[in-house]
Amino acid sequence: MRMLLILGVFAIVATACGEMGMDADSGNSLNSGGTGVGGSTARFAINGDHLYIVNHTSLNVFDISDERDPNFQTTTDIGRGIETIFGYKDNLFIGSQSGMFIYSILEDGTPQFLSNYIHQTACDPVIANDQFAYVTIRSGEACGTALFEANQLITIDISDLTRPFEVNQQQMENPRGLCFFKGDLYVAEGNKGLKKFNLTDPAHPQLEAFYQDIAANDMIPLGNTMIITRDEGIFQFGCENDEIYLLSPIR
Amino acid sequence: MKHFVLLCIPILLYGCDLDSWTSEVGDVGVVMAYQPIYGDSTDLDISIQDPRPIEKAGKIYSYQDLLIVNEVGEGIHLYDNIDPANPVKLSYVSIPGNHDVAIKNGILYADSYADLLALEITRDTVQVLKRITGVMPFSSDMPPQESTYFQCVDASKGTVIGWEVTEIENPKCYRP
Repeated sequence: MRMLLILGVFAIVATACGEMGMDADSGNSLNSGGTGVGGSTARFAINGDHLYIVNHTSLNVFDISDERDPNFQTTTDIGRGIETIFGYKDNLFIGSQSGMFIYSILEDGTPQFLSNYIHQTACDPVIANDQFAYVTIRSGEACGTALFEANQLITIDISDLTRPFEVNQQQMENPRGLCFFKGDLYVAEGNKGLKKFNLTDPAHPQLEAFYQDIAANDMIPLGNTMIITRDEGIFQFGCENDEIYLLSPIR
Repeated sequence: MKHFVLLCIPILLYGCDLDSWTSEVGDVGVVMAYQPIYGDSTDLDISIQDPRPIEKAGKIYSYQDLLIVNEVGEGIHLYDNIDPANPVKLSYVSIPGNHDVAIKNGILYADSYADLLALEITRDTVQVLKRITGVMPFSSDMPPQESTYFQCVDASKGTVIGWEVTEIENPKCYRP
């Protein structure tokens, strides 16, 4: 028996931080049975027996009902500059250089186009809950264009997934990944730092803190821990009395 | 056509010189640029190695107590993260051309240039259970990003299986 698989062993060890990454609002784990969680800039998302991968122009679907024998199932052409995928419940939120696309997942795993929200050309990861999607857009050469000065956090009402509409827009410095953590919205501003927004009024995120000494590209929220990635390494933060503090660096 | 027009705007500022769009750009010094990777993807080194420091951290993925950190374009670092205050280095897995991973029931899916791999990783071994070739489409003529310099493709060196970003002195090609 291959019982000593590293991955297998980790699957059955109980953890101190409890939620095991299965929290529905924490990232790319959908109806997760034995799957993990990625950040908002991920290009892979698993929902049940299917693995979804976005790649430049397309959304590819793989059948992983037998996880040891994945098979290519179908591809959907979406547009150009497809960069990120975020799974929430049975929907896929796809960030591209031209906007956000929403797909629902049919019974057989096939994605079905529901709607899109088009914005200026820029990079843009997206996260979502039942009512709102939060998108960051960032301009710059690495994002396919240096034409627009477009660095923003956009809030989109998605209570009707077929009719998303913008409800708020805020100027940002150079935003990248974003996540929900302890009820707040955190936005990575690259080398500029990390911003925390209060979501008491979820349609209008209120800036509550700007940690200029915490560079961040993307993060994963895991129970009481927020894992932050930036170029030089990984930094994990805990949270106490509504304040985050460094738990450990990995370099 | 819309994109063509947009792309032409900055060029106009310098006098829309169509000839400079692709090959034979002038000397630009040492810049970060794309270079083609030549070879046969099935020959790439997929192996488990001792832990190593992170050089350029990419995507992160958390699976139960395991934390995975992508080394951009090269592989993944594995950590035991049962105690986030004291993550323990486990190993490094070389996966050339890798940027993203996901796990289902202990099986790790990873991209490797244009291929998707299903990997089974133990403490000491990594086994490629399956390789699905060519499902991460890319152009063998041009790098995957716009507005970037790149080393022109030399067909005599073989088949292009992917692109990597590196420092290049006076790259001669440019993708607008």
